[in-house]
Amino acid sequence: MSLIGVIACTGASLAALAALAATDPKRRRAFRLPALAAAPDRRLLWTAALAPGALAAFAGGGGGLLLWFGASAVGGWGLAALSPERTERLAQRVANAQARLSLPRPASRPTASALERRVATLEAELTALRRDLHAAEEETARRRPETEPHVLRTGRVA
Amino acid sequence: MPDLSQSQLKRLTAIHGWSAVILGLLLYAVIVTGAVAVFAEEIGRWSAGTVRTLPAMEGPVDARIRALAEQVAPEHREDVSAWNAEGGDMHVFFHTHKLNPETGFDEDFGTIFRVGPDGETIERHDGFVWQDPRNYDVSALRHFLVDLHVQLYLPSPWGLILTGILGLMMMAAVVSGLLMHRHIIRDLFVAERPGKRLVSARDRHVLAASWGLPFAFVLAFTGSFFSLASTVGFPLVAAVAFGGDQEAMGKTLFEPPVPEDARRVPQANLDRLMADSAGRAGPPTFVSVAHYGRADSRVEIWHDPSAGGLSYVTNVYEGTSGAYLGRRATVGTEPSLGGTLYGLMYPLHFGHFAGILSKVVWGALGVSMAFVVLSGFRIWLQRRAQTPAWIRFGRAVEVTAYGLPFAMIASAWGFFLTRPAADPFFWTPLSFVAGAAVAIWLGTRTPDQARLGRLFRRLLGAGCLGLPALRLATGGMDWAEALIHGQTDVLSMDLTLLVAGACLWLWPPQGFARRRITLEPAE
Repeated sequence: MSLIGVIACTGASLAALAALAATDPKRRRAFRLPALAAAPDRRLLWTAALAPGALAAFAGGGGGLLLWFGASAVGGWGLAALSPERTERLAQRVANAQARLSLPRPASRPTASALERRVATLEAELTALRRDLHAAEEETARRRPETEPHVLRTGRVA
Repeated sequence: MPDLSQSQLKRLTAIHGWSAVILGLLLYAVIVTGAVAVFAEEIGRWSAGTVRTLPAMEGPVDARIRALAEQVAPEHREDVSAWNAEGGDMHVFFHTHKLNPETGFDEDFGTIFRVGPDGETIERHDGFVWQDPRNYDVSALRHFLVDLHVQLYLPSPWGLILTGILGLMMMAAVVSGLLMHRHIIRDLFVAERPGKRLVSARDRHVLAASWGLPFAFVLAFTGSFFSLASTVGFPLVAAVAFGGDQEAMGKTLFEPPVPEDARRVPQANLDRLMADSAGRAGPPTFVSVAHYGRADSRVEIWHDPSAGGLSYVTNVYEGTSGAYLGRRATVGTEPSLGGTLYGLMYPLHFGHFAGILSKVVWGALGVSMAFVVLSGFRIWLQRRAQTPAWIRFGRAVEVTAYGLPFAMIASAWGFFLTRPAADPFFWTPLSFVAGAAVAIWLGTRTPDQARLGRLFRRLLGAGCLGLPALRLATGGMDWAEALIHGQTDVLSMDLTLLVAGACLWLWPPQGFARRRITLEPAE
């Protein structure tokens, strides 16, 4: 089995999955990110994510295919679980580390875009908090007669 | 996905949730120990700490087996097996089959030797040797962790039946989860939404479950197969088709028929056969000789999956002439679809088909499944955060989530502390129980859950950080010696523990109680 080949195939699939995550419409809506002006062809990206599986099977047989599938599933979960905000923070840390090491920086991102995303995330959080507060106030008002003693005892906000 | 009505969806949700509430903590224990047991071989070599320059099965075997055969009762030479022990040692087991009055089953009865790299006998045990792990395992830690995963350290067959049921339950959870969640592809990239709301908990659970879905099903299926095949499946087949004779069933399914010929003849040189087999399928890992020294002798030589392959390879030779008879079918006498599927169960469950890399991936899949179980609990508890009984259950979840790994680390401490002067096979499980008791005590004594989580992480971190030092202090191999002899297991296990310990120690505090409780329904 060519392990290097299987690892390369997994890397290629993860790169395509990262692109899919970055351009996923529902993810962008959920995190209040601006819609992409030119949406990439998602079928093409899915093909790019899955096609290396065939190459992994060619390079490493059944074992290679299974290894690629397992590693892509774990890696895909890791990529998808990183919120845009965390990705941004991670990128910032990498940039800071590079600056400390005096390494040449990659082409800098437009700061305005990062700021916009940050503002959008904070707005989303604020909206959610307002909704929570409103719902909790309504619930408290509705349940006050029977839940009051319990709330006092547990000290939790109902 | 089928379009389910509201009432069907409600029923499925109830099945999905309640089955997890009833058996989920045990399932978590099986999954976590499974993620660790993937590295059983590495843990064995790391904890045993003996130098291996060459696995015993790749060195001379024939002369050692011939010399040992002279030391055992003639009836024990019916079957002979040999396999690698830790370091350069080898286990050789001469045995026949006999009714064990204690269990009421026909079992292997004979003499097992542990032989050192120079052919010297290190240990010898006689009788029904599988009853005591001291007879055949060098690492009490490895044995305990694997046993905990396989049968939750319960007596056989009850532990196996329980883990089999847990596997079936996990399959049911996978299927019901798939049916409940109709937008699996659309939500495949939606990370946990901000706000620590109920929907955020749901995002975490759905995301991890969706990515690990096929593997969760495969691991649950193969796991329940291994647990239930020996306890329910094979006895049932034996009762239906072989009049209850399990030995006859075993011979039909796994031993190609050989005409009986009890004449004593010289045995073919095993080293020659093993060299031939190695040329066909790589280094041998296990050799078995049926009817040693008889005219109807057969030699089977086992190999790990070959490069790119998934199944074990078993080459068969005539025991007297040494003629190659071909590859043995996994089940029956001819290759078949059932045999292939049966053979695939092992690599799919153990994840050892591509060495350490596939094991790391399988371990990570185990971690992701443990995360799915815990995140599922979090949704359930967040919905019931006002009920005192569920608040207490949430505490039990938190104690189990941290307490199990803590108790496993405690068992490793017990193993290393008792290794120099006491019996680690006794103290390792006892240390696990002590660790679990400490975790439960801390859980009852620390009302603030955030503080409890922080405390557990610190304890776990300290436990991990201290283990490499303890291993060295109790006679383990040092890093320089490990590097000189190419024992990468020792170094990589120590480094993994140090990194894990540092991460746990420095992990920012964030427990269940810090999550905001809201009444917002899931989307």
